[in-house]
Amino acid sequence: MRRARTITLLLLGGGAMTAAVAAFPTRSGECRAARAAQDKFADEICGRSGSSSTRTGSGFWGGRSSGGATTAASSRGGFGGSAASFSGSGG
Amino acid sequence: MQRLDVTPRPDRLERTRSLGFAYADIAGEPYWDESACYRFSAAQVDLLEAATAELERLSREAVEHAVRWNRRAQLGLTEAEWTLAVRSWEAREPSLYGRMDLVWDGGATPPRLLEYNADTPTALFEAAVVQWEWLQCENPAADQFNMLHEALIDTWRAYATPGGTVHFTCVPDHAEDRGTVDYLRDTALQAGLNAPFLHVGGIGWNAAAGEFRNLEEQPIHTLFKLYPWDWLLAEPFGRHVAAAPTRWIEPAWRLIPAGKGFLALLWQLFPDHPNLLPAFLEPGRTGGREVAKPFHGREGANISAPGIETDGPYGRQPRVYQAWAELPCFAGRYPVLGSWLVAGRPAGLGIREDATPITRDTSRFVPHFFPAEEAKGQP
Repeated sequence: MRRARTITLLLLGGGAMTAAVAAFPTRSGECRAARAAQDKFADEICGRSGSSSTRTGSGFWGGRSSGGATTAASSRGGFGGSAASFSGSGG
Repeated sequence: MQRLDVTPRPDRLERTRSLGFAYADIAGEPYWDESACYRFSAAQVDLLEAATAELERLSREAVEHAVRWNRRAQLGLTEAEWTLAVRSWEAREPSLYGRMDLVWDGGATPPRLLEYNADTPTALFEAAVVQWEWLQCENPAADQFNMLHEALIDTWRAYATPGGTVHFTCVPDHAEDRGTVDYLRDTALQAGLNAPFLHVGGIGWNAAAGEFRNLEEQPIHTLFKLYPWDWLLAEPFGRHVAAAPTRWIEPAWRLIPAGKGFLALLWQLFPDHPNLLPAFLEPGRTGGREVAKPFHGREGANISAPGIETDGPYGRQPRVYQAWAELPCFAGRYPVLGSWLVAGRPAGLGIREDATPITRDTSRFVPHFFPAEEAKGQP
């Protein structure tokens, strides 16, 4: 359970940091877990079993959309109405 | 598992504020409560982790079963919800995170699932960062079931395009929701992504392009929403979701485990599993005291049990009837163990306790630790 941890925040707390504690081996098993879950991206995850800083990502999230060329303004306000009846939406 | 009384740090509010934790107190009452903490053994943490992994395995099997055999009606999902959920599951869209609420006293009876917050779980920042900072200050030689921060960053790196953009949204003016979203934005930034925020009402629909857009009229490729799927799809823009190219976090298939009807499906598929509680769609079948939960209820609202009735806006929903599992009581407080998953793997623990056996939005967050010398694999 114990891991080498230095929790750094970039956005919250103006970039706060909590202290590291102790060394612990890098987590392994990511590839095995992806295989076990029949993860669509298992091949890519297993292929990136080295340092996380070298990862290239599967590209499932955060890619660029096609479109954006139209100049027509979008309509807004079509989401959010349910929240008026509730306090918060998390759980 | 023990509950220990401890003296709060005199500067606890300053410390938590310095982390950007904006809701240590809510309405003048402590939400972050460090007047107590829970102590586990390393073996107990291992057991919790294993139970969480097992429950995730069961959950994914049950989702697969539900999709294959069209259990939409039992799960209480609309046709529109079901269509999206099935498509999302079959595309194996990745999940970022979830929280299983477990009942356990650390004893011989295994941890058992109360419910699975698979769509919009909160209490993440305090579990990942605030209780870790507390541990470093109060007991730095000890350990904590907490890999959340690293796991989140790793998951962004695994599934996102480097330098890409993930938009984040939630309702405005709700400190807890915004705190959860901003923390996730922080982890995305650390993974090298752009992570702009826009409130849910600011999401635009561009009919000409057939896509959702941000306030700058740029397309939203990926959207993390701390906003329930059942709300989204019931609202005016909900009808555009199926055709839009936006990728959603959590993905739509999380509608399936997030609903309380899923608890009855789990029990049907895995009867007598030691990590499950009997649950049915009809009252009186558990053979004992039971609690009725609305299918899409949140934060302990509209819960019914003998001697207990909570208010809320979900009273008209169908209910699931789950065997009553008395929460353990430590010094008059009832803890629920929130066991976190990131990308489907156990990643940490957050404990919330209440003065009643029902965990609500006012229940306090209490930190935990376990002695490091007991941890496996220590040099």
